[in-house]
Amino acid sequence: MKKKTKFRLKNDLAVPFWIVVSICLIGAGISYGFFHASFFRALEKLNEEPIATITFKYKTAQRRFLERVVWDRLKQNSPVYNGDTIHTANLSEATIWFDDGALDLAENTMVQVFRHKDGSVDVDLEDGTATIDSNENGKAFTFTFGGKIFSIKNGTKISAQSENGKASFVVQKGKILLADGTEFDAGKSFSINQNGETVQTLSVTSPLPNEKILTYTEDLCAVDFAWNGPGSENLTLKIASDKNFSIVNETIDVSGQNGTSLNLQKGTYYWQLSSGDGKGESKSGRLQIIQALKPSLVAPAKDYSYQYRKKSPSVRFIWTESSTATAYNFVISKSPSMTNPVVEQRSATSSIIISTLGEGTYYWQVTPYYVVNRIGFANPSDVSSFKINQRGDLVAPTLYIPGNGEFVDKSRNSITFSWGMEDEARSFKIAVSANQNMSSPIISRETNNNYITVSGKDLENLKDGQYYWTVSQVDSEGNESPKSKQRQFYALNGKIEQRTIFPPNNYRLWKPLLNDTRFTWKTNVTVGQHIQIARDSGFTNIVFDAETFGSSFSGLNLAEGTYWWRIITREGNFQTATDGKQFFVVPELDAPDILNPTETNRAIVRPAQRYTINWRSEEGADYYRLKLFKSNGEMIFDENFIAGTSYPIVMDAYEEGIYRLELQAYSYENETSSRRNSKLRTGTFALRKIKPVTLISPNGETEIDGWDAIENPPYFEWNSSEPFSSAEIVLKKVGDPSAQWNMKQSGYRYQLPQLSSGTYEWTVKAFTMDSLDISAERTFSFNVKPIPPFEKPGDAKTEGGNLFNAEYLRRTPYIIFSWNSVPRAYSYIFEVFNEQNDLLVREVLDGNDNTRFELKNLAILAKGNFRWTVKAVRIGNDGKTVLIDGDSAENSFIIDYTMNSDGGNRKRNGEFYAQ
Amino acid sequence: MRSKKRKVFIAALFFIFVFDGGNVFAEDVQLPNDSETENFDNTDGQTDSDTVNIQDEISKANKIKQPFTWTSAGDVLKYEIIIKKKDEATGNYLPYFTHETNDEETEKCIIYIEPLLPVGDYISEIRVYNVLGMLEYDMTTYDEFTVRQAYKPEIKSLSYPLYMGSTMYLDDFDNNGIIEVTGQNLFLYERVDEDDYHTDYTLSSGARALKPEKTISHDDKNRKIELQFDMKKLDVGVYTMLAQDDSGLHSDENSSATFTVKFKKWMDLDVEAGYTFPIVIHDRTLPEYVTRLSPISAQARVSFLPFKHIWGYLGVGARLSYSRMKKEEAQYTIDGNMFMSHLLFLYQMPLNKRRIMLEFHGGVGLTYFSDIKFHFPHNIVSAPLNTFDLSFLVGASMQFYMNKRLYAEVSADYSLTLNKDMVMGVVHPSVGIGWQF
Repeated sequence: MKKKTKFRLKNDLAVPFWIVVSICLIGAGISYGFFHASFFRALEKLNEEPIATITFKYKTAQRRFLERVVWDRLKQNSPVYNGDTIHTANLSEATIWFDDGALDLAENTMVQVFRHKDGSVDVDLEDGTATIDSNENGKAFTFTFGGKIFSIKNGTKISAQSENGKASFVVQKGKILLADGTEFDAGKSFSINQNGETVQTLSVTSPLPNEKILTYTEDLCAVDFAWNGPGSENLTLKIASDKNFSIVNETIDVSGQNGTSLNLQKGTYYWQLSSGDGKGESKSGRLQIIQALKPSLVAPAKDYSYQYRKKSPSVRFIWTESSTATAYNFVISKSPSMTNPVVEQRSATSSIIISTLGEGTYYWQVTPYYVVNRIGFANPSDVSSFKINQRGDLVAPTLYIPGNGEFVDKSRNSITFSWGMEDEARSFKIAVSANQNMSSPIISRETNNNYITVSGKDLENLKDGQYYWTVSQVDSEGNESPKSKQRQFYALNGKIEQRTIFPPNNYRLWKPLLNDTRFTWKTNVTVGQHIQIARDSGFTNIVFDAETFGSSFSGLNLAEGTYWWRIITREGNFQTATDGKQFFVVPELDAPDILNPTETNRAIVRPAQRYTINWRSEEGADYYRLKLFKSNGEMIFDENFIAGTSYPIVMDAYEEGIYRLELQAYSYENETSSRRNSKLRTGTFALRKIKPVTLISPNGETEIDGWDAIENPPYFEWNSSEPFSSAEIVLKKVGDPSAQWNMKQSGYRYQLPQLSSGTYEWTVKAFTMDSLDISAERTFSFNVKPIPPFEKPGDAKTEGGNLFNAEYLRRTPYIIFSWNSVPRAYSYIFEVFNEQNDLLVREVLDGNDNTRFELKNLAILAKGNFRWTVKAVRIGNDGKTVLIDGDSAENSFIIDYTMNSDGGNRKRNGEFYAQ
Repeated sequence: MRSKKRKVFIAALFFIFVFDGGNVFAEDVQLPNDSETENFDNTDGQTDSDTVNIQDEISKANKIKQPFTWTSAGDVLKYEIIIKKKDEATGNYLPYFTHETNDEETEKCIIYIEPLLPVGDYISEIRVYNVLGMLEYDMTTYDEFTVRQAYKPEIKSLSYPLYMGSTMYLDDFDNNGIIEVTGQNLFLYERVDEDDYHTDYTLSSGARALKPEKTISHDDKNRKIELQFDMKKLDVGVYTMLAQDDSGLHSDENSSATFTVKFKKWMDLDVEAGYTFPIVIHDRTLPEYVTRLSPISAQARVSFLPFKHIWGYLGVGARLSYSRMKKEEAQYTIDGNMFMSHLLFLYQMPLNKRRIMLEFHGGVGLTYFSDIKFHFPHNIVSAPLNTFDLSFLVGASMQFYMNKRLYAEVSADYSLTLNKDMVMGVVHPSVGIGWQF
């Protein structure tokens, strides 16, 4: 069994462990400090006064003391001592600042500097490019190259370039004096060759070797080239991107000119001015165009506004850097012309924080400081502005819940206080007190939210009773607003129960019953209660208010209209009320309108028929009571509890004359309404009794011979005791709904139409001159005796046999049916049926000799067996009634063809193409 | 001129067929239309839908046809063909072509859509009316199809860029088989994508048809294409280039689409002389009398090879050899001469860029034993024996060309001589030197 082991550092070893680790770390830190100091140490002489200080712009420079052989890495502003040799590395530049002038060293340049006892400075150029600029008021410089000594007058600027033992000089301003007494004025240029002879050469006065040109815009920079001296007849100017002129940007023939101007983009260029097709003398130099765009102001944004109440805001200013700028002059002014600055500071970085500004509108601007070409402050940014506003006092928060005078149920687990959120609030202070002056608060809290929840012990501290609460807000500066207007609430254990019962919401009360109606409710409140009745739901227009100690109230007297009622409890500042319930005090129902009979609409009474009195339904009515009176006032009819809106009455016994009618509506009591009566409706009407038409013949015993019915039909006869305005005989064949005739009548006698055999019924419909219906009350029937059917046609056949295949049908796209004629037949009925006995074709062929039919529409057929029949008939003059039927001759035929169910599919034999 | 010369070698043709078996070396690539040409002899263009292929129809007529075919639905009175074209703007299909078939079309289940449908997407609807003239709703079928753009290729010239002409000479060793075709609508041969336009190229000569190996270059405007053919298959002949579009439209056959492959030197005439050393390997009759054939021996041969192809050269030759025979015994000396002459049928196969020719040959001829006599002492000489015997010879040789004309040859032949007394088999190893005219 493998034993599990677990390493654990014992506590007693932990302390020494950490001590050792700390000692090691401290030792390592000290060692690194020494190393850093040693590595970046700039040697200083304690026993000697420095003659100059050195600054460098790019990378670094090295220095060797006169008596030492070790090269020393220089820091910014290192002292330079008499006899020091200074060397700049590749792509480095440095400036040695003397009391009387400055010496600029280009890359890969080595000089030795001396200070003579008379205070004059001697510069010995050993290699590279250097520019000496002597002050107007300073002492003269001497310049040594290859053992030759030149005196440099005050206020002179000379540029020297040494390469491979040769040196060339350009006097830019002032004057220099050679040992042999030769003078060179500004604009002149000369060389010292390897033999130490001084020769005046082609002199490029602009740009200087290693000149840097600062351009403040994004446009091309115009560079002026100017030269003088011998050999300007055949001159070529080349501009290249590299030192070796392998990438020549431009080659310009400037023969015979003393200068030209070129527009160049930012960057480093090498120029060469050569005479005589490059074989003669040439001058070259490096030119750097630095694009130093003016700073753009980033923050605060233009017209940004800062707010504060008591503490001035810290405003952070940010702007973009300008290339080669070493510092910025930052100015804040209250004037857009930047006069009388409020703040003026130097900043080495492109941001600054100012916290001393009070309320007002400010303008700010930064001006970069350029060391290059000793330009100093130049190229200022645009002026931007911002505002600082001081805000007014904080306002008290608005309280939400609990509402003023509200009950708070302590039996719940927690209660919540809430108020409106404020924009500037960092916290809120809430206080709950039993005293109106808010002294000794029971709850006092500070919260970040716009509510607090009180529970547990705090809740227990709230005894039943009245309390007050207020809230104030605190802003981010710690300022506190005034307290909100205090609110009161009642703390109670449990909820108040109080609810109204009768009349329920939307109840309709018939006004006569109101005084006896009892208003009832339930409550667990023992203090005084009021019943209130108002004309509006908000109980602003209270028409009745009475204190009551029971749970019911009656004896009200109100006008018709809409009301709300409620129970309200008041105790001190505490008040609670039930929701108002709506009820209506309504008048009597409207009297129901009688529709039939009326003064203009008589009661028409037929023998042995009831006459129906009807009226319009009255909304809300449940039943009606109807009474009839003779003209002498004698009541002859009384019926109560009529549920519908009509009532049939037997009036056969009534005489024609004028009668009076009374109708009243009633409604039952229900959940939403009390019982109600309507007003009484009375009316008079006239009663008229009429007599219907009588039928005479043919009557039920009449039998008509079949052939007579067709060729010599008998007559209908009927009679009426009243003259008629219109009359119509209606004749129907029993068992055949389609056989019906309606025949208008002008007299009382009318000939029958042609009829087939069968049983018929007839009656007369008629109207009097005053449009009363006097139709016959019964129908008469009679029989037409049958005629024997026609015999079936002989030799019924299809031409071409009775099998029709595809080949036959393609050749003969029709089928001909034929049969023999039948004696006395007027027409033939030809029919074709399929196997399901569906009728496909029915043709009536008129004429005794019409014994052939050609079926052209074969599309109604299909594959299979078909049955066809033909029979002889006699059809009536109406063209459709079969008066005499015949026996059917029957035959069949077969349609046969074959369909390929998979056929008719397109074959895809390749792709379709169009040209 | 050339055909006249060839008539001289009718006999040789027979020989070729004996070896060739008719078409042993011919490629089995079929021309695009050959196989089903018979089906389209119907002059009215109507044919049974079973045999119709749209591309074959177009190819045969070399113009666009749109035969629309379907399967037969049995006893049908007519079919109604409704073709709806897709409206590109709305995506709806709108009726474009409606046709009710006549009796002949009904029977053959084919119609030729006229006027032709333009390029686009279509839906076809085929309605079937049974013999009673009733529409069979359930049998109505729909099918979507696309009418694509056809481009009729046109060949304006055919050239062999290596020689800047329309002739390729097989004599040269640096043939690359790249043929440049210019004209119109010449799309790429290789099918890069199923939807890309593509042209099928066939170089045919008689029954021989060649497909390109690959495309060397192609002009973006489809006016020029360079195709590389397999040099091993490009045999002598006059070839016609046929460019066929996917639709079946193809270029016209005319003189600008022809291309000739031939040898600059249409025949080889080789004359050769050398030394042979016959060795009798069966029938001991001769060695019994004449121990060995004398080293005095020589042979000469002339070969004429007018049928030059990439797979080898065929021709006829004549061979003559002479060997001196002598044997000295104590009592007598026997000597004589043996001549052999054969008419040979030759097959030469060039190897190593024709620096070496491997040859197989065989033929029939005569062996002539001449003046064989016994010499006895005292100048007694037997009557000379002279006899001509039928002889057959087969053999193989290799010719090593030192330059274009001069060659050395090593060969080994076997001859069989039929004599009433013997059947002699002799092996003739030989070396020689020859010159090709």
